Amino acid sequence: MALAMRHACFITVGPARFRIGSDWRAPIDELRALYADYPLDEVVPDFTVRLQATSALRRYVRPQVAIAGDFTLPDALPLPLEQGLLAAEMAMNLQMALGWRRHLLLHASAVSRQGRAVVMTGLSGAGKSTLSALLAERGWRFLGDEFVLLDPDSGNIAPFPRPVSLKNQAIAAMEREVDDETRFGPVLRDTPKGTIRHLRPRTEWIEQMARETRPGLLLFPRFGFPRAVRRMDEAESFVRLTQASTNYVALGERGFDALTQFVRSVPACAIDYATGDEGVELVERLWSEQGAKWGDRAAA
Amino acid sequence: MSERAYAALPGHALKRVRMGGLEAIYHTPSGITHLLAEPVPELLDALDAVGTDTFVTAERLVAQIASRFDLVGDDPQERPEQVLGERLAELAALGLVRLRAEA
Repeated sequence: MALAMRHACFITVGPARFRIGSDWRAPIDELRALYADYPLDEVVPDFTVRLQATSALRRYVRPQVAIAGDFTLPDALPLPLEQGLLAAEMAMNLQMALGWRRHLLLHASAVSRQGRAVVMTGLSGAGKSTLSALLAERGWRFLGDEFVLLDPDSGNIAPFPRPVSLKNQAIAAMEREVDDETRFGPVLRDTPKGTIRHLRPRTEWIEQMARETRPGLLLFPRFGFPRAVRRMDEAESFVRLTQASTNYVALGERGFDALTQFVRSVPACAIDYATGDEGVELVERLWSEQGAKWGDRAAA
Repeated sequence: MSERAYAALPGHALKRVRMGGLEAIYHTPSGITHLLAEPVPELLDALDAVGTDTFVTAERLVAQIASRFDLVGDDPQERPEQVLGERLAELAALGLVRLRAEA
C-alpha cells in the first residue's frame, strides 16, 4: 500500500534502500542532514517507512509520531515529534530486522582492517556500538554498529554503516573523541532509551560501503567489567549468534549454512573491559595475535 | 510385545556440521536446528551405515557399534541397549530418525 506522504526522502545504506515518508517536515530535514553523505537519489526502495500522525488532530495538538511501514510491531509506542529522527531510525531497524532476506542479519557491530572484519555482538547495552565507534576513530574502517550483514553465498560481510546511535554516557565519550561537531546529530532527551545522539561515520567509510569484507574475528564484548578474555568454542558462538540473528529462522537452510560456515571460519572470544581505551586495546591485541596466524598461513 | 526399530532419514533430510564435541544439525523438513552432544552423532552415523531403508533395533545397533568401539557406560548396571534405546526414542521424538514398531 503506497500512502502519499507530505514529506519524503530516500536513503541508501549499504545494500538497503529506504523511502521514508512523514506527515511532518522536521524529521525528514533532520534525516537529510544526518545522512548528507549517503546516496539520497530516488530509487525503488526495499522498504518504505512512514512516520504518521497518530490521529489527524495529533498533527497540530502535541504532535506524536507513530511508526508504520512494510513491517510494524503492534506495541511500538508513538514518540513525541521532537524524537521523530529516533522514530525514523527505529523504523529503519525494524524493517531490516523483519524484512531483509538477502543476508543473514546479526545484531552486531563491525569494523575492519586490511580486509578482515571484527564482528562484535552482545546484549543491548553491552557496549558493542560504542566500541565500534571508538575503533572507527582510531584507524579502523567502520562497517556498522547495529547490524552485520553476512552474505550466505560468499561468506563476506556487506557493510551497513548507519550513523552510530550513541546512548547516555557514550555521548560524552565520543564528543571527546571526535573533533567535528558537524558529524553529530541533535541531542534527543528523554527517549525510551535515555538520551540519544547520532554520530555520522567518517565520509570515507560511507563512500566505501559497497565494498564487502571477509570476517576475521568474532568478539562478545561487555563494557563495565574487570578486564578478562575468554576463548569461546564454536558451539557456544553458534548458539549465541542464532539468538543474535533477527532472520536466522526465516532464512532456513541458507541461514544454517551461513552461520555454521561463519563460526567455523573465525576465532571467537568473550571480552570484558572497564573503559573504552581498555576495550580498544584488547581488540587491537587479539587482532594482532590473530593477524600473526593469518601471516603464518599466508607465508606457508 | 512389539519391539521398536529405527532407521536413518534420507540423506537430504539432515545437514550436519561438527563443532568441537557437539554437532549442529539442521532438520530440513521442519527447518529446526538442533545442537546435539555425543553419542547422538555417532548413533546417526551408525544408522547411516546400516542404510536408510533398513530398520534396526537398539540391540542390533549396539552389536554393530560394539564391533568397532568399546562401549563403556557410566553405570555398569545399565545395559548399553537400554541407554541407546532411550537415546533413539528421543531422536525419533525429534523427528531425526524414523521409528517403526516391529511385531
